[in-house]
Amino acid sequence: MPTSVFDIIGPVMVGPSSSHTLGAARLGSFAREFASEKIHKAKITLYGSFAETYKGHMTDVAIIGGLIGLRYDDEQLAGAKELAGQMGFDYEIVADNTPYYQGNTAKFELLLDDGSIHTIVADSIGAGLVNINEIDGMYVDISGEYCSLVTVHADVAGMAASITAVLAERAINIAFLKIYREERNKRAMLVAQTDEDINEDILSKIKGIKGVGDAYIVGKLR
Amino acid sequence: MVIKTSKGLLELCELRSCSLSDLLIEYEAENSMSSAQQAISKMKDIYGIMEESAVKAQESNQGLSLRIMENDSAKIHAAIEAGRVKTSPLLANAICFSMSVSAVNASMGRIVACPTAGSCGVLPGVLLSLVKDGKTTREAAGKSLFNAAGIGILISENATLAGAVGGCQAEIGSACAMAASAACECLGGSPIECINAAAFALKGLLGLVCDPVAGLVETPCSKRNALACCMAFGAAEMALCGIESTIPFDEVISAMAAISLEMPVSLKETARGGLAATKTAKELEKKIFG
Repeated sequence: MPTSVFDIIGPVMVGPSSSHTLGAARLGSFAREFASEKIHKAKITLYGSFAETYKGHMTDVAIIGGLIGLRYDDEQLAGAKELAGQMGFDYEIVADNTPYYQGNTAKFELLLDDGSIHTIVADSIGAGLVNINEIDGMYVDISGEYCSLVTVHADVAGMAASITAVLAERAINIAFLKIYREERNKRAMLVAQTDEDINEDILSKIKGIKGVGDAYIVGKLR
Repeated sequence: MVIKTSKGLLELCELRSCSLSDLLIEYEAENSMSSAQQAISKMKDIYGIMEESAVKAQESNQGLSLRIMENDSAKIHAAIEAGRVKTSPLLANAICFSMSVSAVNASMGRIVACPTAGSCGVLPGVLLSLVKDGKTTREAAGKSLFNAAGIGILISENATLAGAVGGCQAEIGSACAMAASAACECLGGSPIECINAAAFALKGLLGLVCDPVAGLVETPCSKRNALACCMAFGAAEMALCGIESTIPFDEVISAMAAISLEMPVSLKETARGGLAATKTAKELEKKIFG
């Protein structure tokens, strides 16, 4: 996609750092989106330059802000930890200085209200842009610039066709499509990044497809 | 429309007999599938936020939470108000605006990343002081942000805008080039003069490292932003006099990309080298974070 004028002059954000504050807030927002706002408890581990300079750049504060629903341009972000405390939001944030991940990386371990546990590993890649690298141990590549459909399904023939057919019916254009699997005939994952937003109605139809174990929408980061 | 080189940009300006700002407005409208009017209106709002952050810290410390630096914009504001400015009111105002934006940024206040948060004081400093000094209008200054974006896109496409990748030359160096070009246009410069101004500014800051004390976006960031404003004026002045860049801007950007690759990691926003590794910086770091 061509760079927008407003990627260079902008975004409007709260400081102090595009990669460590804005990007971090967007990572928190992504995790919240992924969990459909139903996070019971969150553990966040910071790696790389996040682990080294998070205190100075308010990376931890920004991530918590994103997790509790504050946007990166909300001046309440500075008080995100206090706000999370008042809301009773249960979280733990730790820094890991081992070189396990090299980028500005954060790992989210989320316990949702329904008892399910999910892991997301994501990077802030500079200038406020983010990339989601892993969901539940599967390597993905989601930018947050688009609406994303993530399905976990059986690795059998025809799954991608059935899933994308539902999108085609509703005139949803796929900008990027990737399919991953752990092992042949076991668990696979599909990530479709779309121009149009995908609603709950479409999602439930996709969840109803035989062989689909689970499906999520990760909204475009605004 | 594709933006890859300044040469390409200049050819398009020549073909359409338009300014760099006009060209970038057309580019944005085309790429975002919206109207030129929508892009202009969005930029006006952004300019308004720049103005808010540029005056916020000048008269009071309210809402600021600084850990190393002081609210220096208030000091220079007091000097301006008392008529104690020794060099030029334009420079003093630019420094004052710029330092206010930096203080707001460091305090988790709302700013416009231009191109990044760490370099958010340069464009407001340069443009708002030109308006305050009566050298351009608020409207022209706001519009010139499109010109600045064009320079930023060139650098982002061919090098980097991230301090963690290219050091401070990528952040404040880029901001300075963007501001020099925008100022040049506000002062009546042609597209080629704007590109020359951008080249002078970027050349002036090539090789600059990112060495934030204690990893905070305070020292030396605030003062570097302020001083980059002064350099942007110098670059615009030189270009407007007809001085040309010996090395074309596109090649200056390539040089910046090459320097980024050779720059050690300790000088790329890791707070492990340069000023961040000095005795005083280490003492400050210990005092703040224990």
